[in-house]
Amino acid sequence: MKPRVLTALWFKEALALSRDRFGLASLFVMPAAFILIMSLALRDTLRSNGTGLQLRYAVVDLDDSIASREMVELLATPNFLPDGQLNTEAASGAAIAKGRLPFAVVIPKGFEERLNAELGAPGLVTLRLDPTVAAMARSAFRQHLLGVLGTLKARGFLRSVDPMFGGAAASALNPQSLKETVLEESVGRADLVVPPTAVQQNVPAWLIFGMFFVVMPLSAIFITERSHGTLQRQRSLGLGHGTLLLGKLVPFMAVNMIQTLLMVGVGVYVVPLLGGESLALPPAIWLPFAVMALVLSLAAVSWALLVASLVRTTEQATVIGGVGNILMGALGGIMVPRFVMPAEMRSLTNLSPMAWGLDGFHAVMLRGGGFTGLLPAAMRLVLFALAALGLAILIAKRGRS
Amino acid sequence: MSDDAVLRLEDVHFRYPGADQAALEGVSFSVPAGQALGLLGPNGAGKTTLISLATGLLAPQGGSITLGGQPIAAVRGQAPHLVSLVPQDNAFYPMLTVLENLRFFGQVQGLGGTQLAARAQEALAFTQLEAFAKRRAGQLSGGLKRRLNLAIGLLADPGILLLDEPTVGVDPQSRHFLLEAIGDLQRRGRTIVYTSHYMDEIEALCGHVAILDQGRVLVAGTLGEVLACAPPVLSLRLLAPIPPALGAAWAERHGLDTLPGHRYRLPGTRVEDAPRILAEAQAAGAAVDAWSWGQQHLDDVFMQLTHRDLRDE
Repeated sequence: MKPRVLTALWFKEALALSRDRFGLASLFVMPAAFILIMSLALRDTLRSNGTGLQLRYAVVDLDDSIASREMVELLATPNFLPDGQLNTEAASGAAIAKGRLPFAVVIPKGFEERLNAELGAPGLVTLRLDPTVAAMARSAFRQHLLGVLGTLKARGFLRSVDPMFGGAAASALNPQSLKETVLEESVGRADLVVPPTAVQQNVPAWLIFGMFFVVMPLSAIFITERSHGTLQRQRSLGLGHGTLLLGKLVPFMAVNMIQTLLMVGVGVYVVPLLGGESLALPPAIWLPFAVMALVLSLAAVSWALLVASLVRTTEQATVIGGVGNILMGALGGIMVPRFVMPAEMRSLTNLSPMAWGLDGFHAVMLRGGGFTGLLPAAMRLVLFALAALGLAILIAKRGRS
Repeated sequence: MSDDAVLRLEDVHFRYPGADQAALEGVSFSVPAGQALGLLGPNGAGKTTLISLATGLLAPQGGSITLGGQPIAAVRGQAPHLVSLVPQDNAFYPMLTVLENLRFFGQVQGLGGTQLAARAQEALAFTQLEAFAKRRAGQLSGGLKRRLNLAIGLLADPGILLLDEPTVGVDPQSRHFLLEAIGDLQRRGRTIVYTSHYMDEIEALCGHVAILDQGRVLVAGTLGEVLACAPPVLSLRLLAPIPPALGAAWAERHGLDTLPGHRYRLPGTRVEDAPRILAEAQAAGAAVDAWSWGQQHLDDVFMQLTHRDLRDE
C-alpha cells in the first residue's frame, strides 16, 4: 500500500463527506441533540446527590400549631422542595388536577393534639397526589412523611419525659441527622452497574450511538461508488480490497474522534448552560477515555464497512444500518439506562456492542478503572471489529461488492 | 493472429460462480499494437467479462491473456497502469469537482506533484474540459460527463485503452467530439479496444473487429475480413410493394430479404447481374426509386452471424 494512494483515498473521503450535509447532520447534530435532551430530561431522575429524586409539594396547614409549623419545616429537604403553602384542601386539589404540583400534604385541624395523644393515629395527615406520579416517587414521599412524623413524635416524647431534654436535644433530632448515622461506602466491583448521573450516562451513550451512525454516510458513499462504477475503476487501477477498506476506515475513525471531542464538549460546557450537570472528566482519565473512544471507533467503522459491503441500495442501508443501530442502542442501554432494566434484560444487553462500549466508558468514568478497567470491553470490541472487517473483505473478494 | 499483437487472448474460458453457462468459452483474438479493435456483441455476449479479464478485475479460468508476450498478471505487476479502462458507467465522484476527480484518480495511479498537475491539465485540455474544472462532476451534462470519464482514463498515459461503450447516452455533438478524440488517440499510437452498439462508430474507428456472441467469438480479423464474411448485396427501394410473381422469382434465384419501406435486398448477386434485375423490375411494373450494389455493412454481417439485432436483450 503506497502512502500516496492512501492519502488520496483519505482526502477524497473527507471531501465527499464534507459535502454530504445529511450525513454530517446524522453524525454530529443528532448525538449532540440527544445528549442535551436526555441529559436535561433525566436530570432529576439521575441526580448525583444520592436519592436521585427531587419532588415538589405544597402544604395545606389547617392546624397552624407549633407541631404543624415544625412539620412544615422538617418536610423541606434538598430532595423534597416546598412549593408554597395553600389555604384550603380544595386549592391543593386544583393545583394537582392542573398538573402544577405532584404532591400536597394536608395537615388537618387538631393535628398537634392527635400527634401527642395517639400513637399511629390513622389519617393524622393526608398526602394528596397526582395519579400519574411514579410508584417509586410516591413511595419515597410516603417514607419521608413517615420519617418526619416519627421525628415529631420522638421530639414530643423527649420534651414530655424530662424537661432537661426539651431544648437542644429535641430540636437536634431530625430526619437529616438520623440519615447521617448510616455511613455509605462504595466498594469498586467491575461486575456491578454503578448508576451514573444523567450527563455521565448520556454523553458516552449518545456518543457511541453517533459513532455507529457512520454506517449511513459510509454506506451512501459505497452505494454511489458501486452504482457509478468507481469502485470497479479503482480496482482496475490495481487497488486491492484491503486498500479500499483502509481508505475508508481511517477517515471515518477521524470523524469518530471529532465526534468524541464535540460530544464531550457538549457534556462539559453546553449541558450546564441549560441547567444540567457538567460532565466531570478529570485529566487523569483523558488517556484511557481516548483509548476507549479509539477502540469503539474501530468497532463502529468496521461494522459500518461490513454493512456497506452487504447492502446494494439506500433502503437496505437504512434498514440494516439505521434500524440495526437503533435496535443495538435499545438493547445496549443507550436509550434506557441498563441499571433501570430488570436483571434478565440487563444480561441480554451484553449482546450489543454498544453495551460493551458503554461498559468501557463507565469503567473509566465511574469506577476509575483506567486501562485495566476498560480492557474486557476493549477486547470484545477489537474482536468484533476484526470479525466485521474480515467478513467485509471476504464479501468484497467474492465479488459481491 | 498478428505477430505484432500487443494484447492476445488464447482459448480463454470464464464461468461465474453458480452460472449455468460459461460467460466466455474458448475466446481467442488479438489486438495489434497501435491499432483499434472493435468488440461487438449483443447484451450478455461476454464483452464486459472480457474487459474485466483484460483489466485484471477477473482472472481467466482457462487459456491465457498476454500483453506483449507476457502474462497479463505479470505485466500489471510491473506496470499497473499500462492498461486503462474507461468503463461504461460514469465512474467518478459526482460530489467532487472535475479537477478533484482528476487529482484523485491521478494520485491513486501514483502520480504526484508537478507531474500530476501536468497530466491533469493535459487530460482537461484533450477533452476540452478546462472551463468546467471547478464544477462538481454531478452537475455536468451527459456529454461532459463522458468526456470526464475519458479524461480520467488518460491520466496515466496508458499504452492500451479499453473503452466500454464510451458514447452511450450523449448528444450527437458530444458523440462526434468523443469519436474525434478517440481517433486522435489511436493516431498517436495507442492500442484501443472499443465496445459499442453503434456499428458506424466501429466502422469509422476500428481497423480490426471481433464479434462475440454467447461467450464465443463468431469472427475476428480486420474490418475488411469481417465484412467479407457476408456476400455483396444488391439493395433496391421500390415505390410500391413488389409484385408477388417477381418476388417469388427473385427469392428462388438469389434469395430475397424484405425490409420495411418497400426495401429489398438480393444477397446472392454479382455486380453484372444488376442491369438484368433492374430490367426485370421494370418489366413487372415495379418502379425502382433507388438501388445500390456493394459490400454489406457491419450491422448486416452481425445479423447474419448472430441472427439478432445488436440492441436485442
